[in-house]
Amino acid sequence: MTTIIPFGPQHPVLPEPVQLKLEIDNDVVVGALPSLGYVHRGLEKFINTKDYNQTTYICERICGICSALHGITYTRAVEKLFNVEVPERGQYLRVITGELNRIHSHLLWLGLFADGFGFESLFYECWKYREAVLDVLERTTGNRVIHSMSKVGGASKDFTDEHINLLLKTLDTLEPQVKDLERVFVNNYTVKKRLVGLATMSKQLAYEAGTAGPTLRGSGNSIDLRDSSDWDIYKDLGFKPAVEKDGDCYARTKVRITELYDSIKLIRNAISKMPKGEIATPIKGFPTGEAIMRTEQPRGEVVYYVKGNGTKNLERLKIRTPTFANIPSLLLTLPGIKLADVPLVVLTIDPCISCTER
Amino acid sequence: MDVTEILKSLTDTFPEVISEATAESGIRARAYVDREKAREVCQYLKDSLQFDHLCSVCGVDYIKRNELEVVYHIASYNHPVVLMLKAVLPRENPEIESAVPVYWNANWYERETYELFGIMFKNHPNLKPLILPEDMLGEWPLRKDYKGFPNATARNLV
Repeated sequence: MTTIIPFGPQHPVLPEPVQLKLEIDNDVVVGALPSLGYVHRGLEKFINTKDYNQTTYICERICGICSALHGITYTRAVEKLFNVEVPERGQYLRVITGELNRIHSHLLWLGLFADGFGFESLFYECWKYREAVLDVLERTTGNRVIHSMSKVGGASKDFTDEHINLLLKTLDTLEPQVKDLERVFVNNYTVKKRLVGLATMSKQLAYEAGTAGPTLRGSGNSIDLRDSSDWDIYKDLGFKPAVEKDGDCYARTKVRITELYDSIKLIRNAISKMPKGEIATPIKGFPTGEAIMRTEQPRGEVVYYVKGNGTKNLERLKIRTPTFANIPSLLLTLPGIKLADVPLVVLTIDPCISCTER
Repeated sequence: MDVTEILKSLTDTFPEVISEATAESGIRARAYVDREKAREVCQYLKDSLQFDHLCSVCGVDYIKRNELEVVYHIASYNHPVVLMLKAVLPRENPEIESAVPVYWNANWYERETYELFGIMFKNHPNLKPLILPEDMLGEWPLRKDYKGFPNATARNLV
């Protein structure tokens, strides 16, 4: 006899409003039926009433955690329509904000995850470190969550030497803190007991199901858009994707911790290579034509499709977010898992339902 | 594999199905495909040209031309080219063969396109609304043909 237990949309462990109807047999999941739509805001429709510059700010508000990279991807796509080249300093400024965004997103996730398996003090620890990153974002870009750093044509604000010194100082204190977190997450007996071998996704499945980001890389696929021709600037910064072979929850956690180090390294490299000069190219006219842009977000590949029609409004804006790609494959890994482990497994794909439904 | 090679192989194999195949840059290409043969072309792209990753499926409403378009963005993990494959559908009868047998992850992308544009994907395993509530089915909110566009929504709630 199977019972159906609703998981969410309000759940003490999972803060995101997604509902899974779990078919339970003897405390073990045999099937899961998702139900979405609790935070659908119709943003793809809403942009029809806004011009292409205002759309940048709407895109940043899709999600509060990966806001910078949404804005950056959108502006890069529109720049393709205008065929403009962004000055190098503008591109480096984008990389720096994007990577700071990734650091605070991963620290937030690590905290939520720790809370998910009942390690509350570790949750506070992660969020304490994240606070320093938010503070530095506030001091440099002016905002804590929605940074508005990227505009069509380049970056909207410049960093002064003072900002850069502050940033470097924050990174210097952050690095040993991340080491400390790594020690707890990777070597702790309880954590390992809870995560190793849980919800294993094979290399082939992750690849064929079109998963994105740490879920894909945690299963042994060395695929990261920062390592591809989609974003050339990363080639100069010496980036290598973080990959783990096992494909379980533990591997996905390790990928994210490695990415924290990678981001710190990337920001340091970007600061050392950042040239002086202009930060943005002026834009004139209205967009025509169409373009696709892909960027690696904290959660994986985000795809923007923009289509201009020669007026100030866009004809169509389509956003395919990483969680939208990850949830179907997540549902495949749920059968066979104990009910008590479901929140943990759902958390390991780092679900962002605001992104998914837009 | 570079972009000219890909487009050449595609147009040589399907001379009557593929039209306006153009390379926008070294990593971006686009082509129109006949809607009857869209799935076969996807199969060929996956099997022979290493396009193994479907990035997204979306619809676009061209109200002046009285047409809908389905746009497939197909990428590869082995080469950097992203192909934009477009199929034109008439507004009265927007039907196209589902790509789910080729790309497993097309399932949700097509469901989303269905609920927002009313494009029917034939032989889709589970063509039901995904994000919108069931009672909004049939309003096709991203189409541009209702009164008060763009300030009103389909149901005129705002």
